[in-house]
Amino acid sequence: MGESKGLGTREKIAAVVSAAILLTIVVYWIIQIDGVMDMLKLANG
Amino acid sequence: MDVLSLFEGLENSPIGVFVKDKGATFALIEIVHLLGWTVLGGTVLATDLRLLGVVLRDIPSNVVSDSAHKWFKAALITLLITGFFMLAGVATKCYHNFYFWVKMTTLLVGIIFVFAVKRPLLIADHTTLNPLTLKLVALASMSIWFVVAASGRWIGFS
Repeated sequence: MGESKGLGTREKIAAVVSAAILLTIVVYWIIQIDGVMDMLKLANG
Repeated sequence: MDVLSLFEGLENSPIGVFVKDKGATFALIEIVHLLGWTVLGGTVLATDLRLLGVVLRDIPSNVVSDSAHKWFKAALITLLITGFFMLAGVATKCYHNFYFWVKMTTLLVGIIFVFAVKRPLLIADHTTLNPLTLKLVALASMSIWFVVAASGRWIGFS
């Protein structure tokens, strides 16, 4: 009982942390790709 | 003492001077660093793609993650040691490099994620866990280690 409750908490923490990491990384790559596109626009005129 | 002084001190230390000034030292350390990366990347992909049900489907995911985690730890120790020596040779350059700090931040997040979140979850019987949570953990794990590797590669380009 206690073990399954502990596992449930661990699962919830893992899901929330994983979702937060994925969201942060998606935002990071959007900013990076946007930066590269701006640089290419500057380079190509 | 500020962080820049620490980095300058590291680059001017006997270790930094040895790595910087002795012929192919940096390249040799980098070879071991990259070998460590191949092992770490392999363990991450094997574990996470198994959790996603893409590879090694005939082997229980508990077996794959338990076996891979031992090699992951060995690879991580190799990376941290060789990474420290590589940093010593170019510490001042790294201090001013944005992608170095991205790498260090994501590396720290990745280590905390593995040892505080992923591993404590995966030591349980995977059949008792929500498959969606396992897939989310696998995607986050692959993403974070990809950013660590990509930003590390980008230090050399910038």
